[in-house]
Amino acid sequence: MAKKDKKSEIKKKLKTSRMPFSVRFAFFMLPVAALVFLPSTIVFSVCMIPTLVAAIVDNHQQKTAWLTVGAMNLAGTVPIWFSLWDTGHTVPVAFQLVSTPGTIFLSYGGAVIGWIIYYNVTPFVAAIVLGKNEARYKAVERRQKELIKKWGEDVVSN
Amino acid sequence: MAGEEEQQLSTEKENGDLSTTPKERSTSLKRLESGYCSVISQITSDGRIMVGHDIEILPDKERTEYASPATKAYEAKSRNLGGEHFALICGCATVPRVTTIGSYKGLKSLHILRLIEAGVIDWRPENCQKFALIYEKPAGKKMMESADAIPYKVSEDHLIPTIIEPAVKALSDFRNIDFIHGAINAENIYMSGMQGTERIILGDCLSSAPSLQQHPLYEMASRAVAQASGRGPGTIKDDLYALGICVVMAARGKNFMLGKSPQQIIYEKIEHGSYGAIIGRERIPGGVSEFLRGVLNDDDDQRWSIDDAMRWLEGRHINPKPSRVILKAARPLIFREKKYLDLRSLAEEFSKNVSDAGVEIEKGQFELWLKRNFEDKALRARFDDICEKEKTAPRDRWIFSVCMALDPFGPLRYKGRSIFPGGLGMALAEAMAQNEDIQIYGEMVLQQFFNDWIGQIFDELPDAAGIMSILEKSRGVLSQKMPGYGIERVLYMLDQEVACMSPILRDYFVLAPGNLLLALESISQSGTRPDTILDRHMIAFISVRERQMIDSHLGYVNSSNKGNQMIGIIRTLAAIQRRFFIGSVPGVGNWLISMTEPIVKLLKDHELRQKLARAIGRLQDNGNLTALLELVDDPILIQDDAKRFGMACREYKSLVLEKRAIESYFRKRKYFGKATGRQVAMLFSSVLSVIVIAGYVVLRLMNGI
Repeated sequence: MAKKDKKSEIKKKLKTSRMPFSVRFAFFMLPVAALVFLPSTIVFSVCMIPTLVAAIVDNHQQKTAWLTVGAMNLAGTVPIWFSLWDTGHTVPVAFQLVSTPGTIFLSYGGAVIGWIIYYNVTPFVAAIVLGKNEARYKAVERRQKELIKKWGEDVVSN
Repeated sequence: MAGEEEQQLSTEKENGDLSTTPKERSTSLKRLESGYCSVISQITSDGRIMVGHDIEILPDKERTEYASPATKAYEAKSRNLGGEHFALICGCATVPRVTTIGSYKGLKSLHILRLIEAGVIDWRPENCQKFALIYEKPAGKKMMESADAIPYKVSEDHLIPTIIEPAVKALSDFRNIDFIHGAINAENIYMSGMQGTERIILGDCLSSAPSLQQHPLYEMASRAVAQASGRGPGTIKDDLYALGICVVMAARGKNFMLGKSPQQIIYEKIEHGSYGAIIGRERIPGGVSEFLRGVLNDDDDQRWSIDDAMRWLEGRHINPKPSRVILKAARPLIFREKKYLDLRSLAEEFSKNVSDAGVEIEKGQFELWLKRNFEDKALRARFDDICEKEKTAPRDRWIFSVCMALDPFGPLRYKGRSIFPGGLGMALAEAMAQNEDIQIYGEMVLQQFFNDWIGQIFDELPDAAGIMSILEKSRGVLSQKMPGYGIERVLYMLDQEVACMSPILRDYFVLAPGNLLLALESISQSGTRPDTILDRHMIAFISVRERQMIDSHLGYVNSSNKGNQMIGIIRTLAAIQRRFFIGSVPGVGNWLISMTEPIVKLLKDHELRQKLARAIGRLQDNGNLTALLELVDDPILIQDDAKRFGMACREYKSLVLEKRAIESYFRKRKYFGKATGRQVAMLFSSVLSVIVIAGYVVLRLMNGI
């Protein structure tokens, strides 16, 4: 009986650890789509390298750098991808586009803006949060003093 | 006064106070009737002591001829009333009979001292309060000037009209108002009128408790063996007995006290009976002899009552039965080298020599002597019962029980005290006044000695159940130790006339709670204020005399919390001020204000405290205790304050936690806010990206069109 129970438990675990069908389908479809739209894949693969780098170098727990950089990197890549579609969605055009300095400048420039945002907005917001907490800390201390003044030291001991 | 009584009764009814018996209630009303509790004197600017506006007491003119061992007498003069007067000045220890003064004053008898005024006075010579009784001076001398003088001799023919008739009539008047003289003796009887037509006037009986000043000569042997304060009030038959002794002394012109100790007199009375000991074989006129046989009868049932004496005066012939024969042994018992034939004397001696008595009984000879010499089944049963019960009891208790078995009608003899249950209150008052050990009395009540005594002669005592009931109440009171109970309460319960015996009120004569407040006012202004306002005596006194004033606040008064205790005290004193219509008492008010700090501290809110302290401070020198009470006694305010304090504590606790959390953030200052910053940067970047892409798409579409 005990062995049977163990087997059924393992089966259950396997069932729950299995990815849902939609995800497995997406994983299957992604390389297919990449092959079908190979020119776009080439453009995005080259233009989005800074995002990949950001994801690799970000050692923070939240891993928000790749998203910050990636968003602006994407904004710079989208016009190139549109021009790929305009000039014909072929592999040679894709290679031609990615080897053009303007294309690299545009997409990587977006990534640079992303990094600028990442390195400026973060301390700015942190400074605001810190200031707010400092003000709250003072307010708490003030209120404590008020309570002691009104109720005496008993309010502390009780 | 009647209005006050009605108010008192209605208050009791409203309170659903059914615990008091009708007898207690009537005593309470009797007490309220008395206006003799108040201070009636004034000291004039030239230092004279005036009672009202009319009578002046002259402290420099002492009149020793009217004084008694416990009182002093001074000349008094009245502006409006004719005649001469004297004032009897007495202290707390004699327990003046304040509850009966009104009834006494109302008597119209010519054969008693005429009382002019009575009340508490400020007695300047001793700088304290005393109780004063102002009497009209009797016209004539005392029957006997002093204890060692020869009494005034009245011829045999004049004994009845001179002494017996006026005294019996006066005693009859006393009986009608339920009063006992309790102090009839040759030194307290005045011979008024011309020689040959004299009539007696009975002297003062109000300055001390009944029988307290009586020499054993004037008491029956059973009462005489008790200590004077422990004899109890007695009955009118005891007055007649004392009168009989006085009649014999006047008839003989002989002082029976001369050359004899009280013990000898008692022993002779036990040995020969009262009649035999006083009259012996000498001749007494036939008519008077009958009277004397009646009133000096040692058998309480056979002794003449006032009705018998009245009938005899009317000329009816009453043949008094001889006294019950005192049980006497055929052969004496030798104890401490003295021979004893009767049990009362032996009991008396045993009680005085407990250890020797113990040895004597243990030897076994005593039991044999008892069995061989007394064929009294009841005595044997009592003795056997005690031997059975008290075998293992301590020696004091054992001998007490043996004495009780030997002399069941005698007093309770224990550790040198010798009292009747009815005299317990007075004995306790005397012990307290003289700073004697009062624990013995407590022991006697707690160990139910009185109950044992009553149990032995239950059928022969007129109000055995009533006495038992009050003693049981006393036992209950004694078992509680908190202020308001204990031996102090027993004292005030048992003696309705005793003044408050608090050591703080040593110089005051406090007979009612109203006087107590006035005494406290006087103390507060003297500069020697004690630490506490109400002590155990005062609390018990107020609780017994005016229970509505304090009983409902007793929990507060006895609280371990100083603030609540002070609220209880203020409630009590304010109630007394209202109830007795006492005006402003700024001294007590200021005294209470100086002690209100714990009350103020009952409030947690410091602002409220300051506000309350300021408000209390504004009542300085006001003396209205109700106003003070209204300020400090606000339970809703205190509850609300406590509630808000609880909320403040919780708030403070949450603030501490919040502060700690912020401090922990601050410790990670380097990273503090960065996570949020990164998230904001991500959001900002994403939004900007969407805008750029959307803008590009829009532009493309517009160009394409």
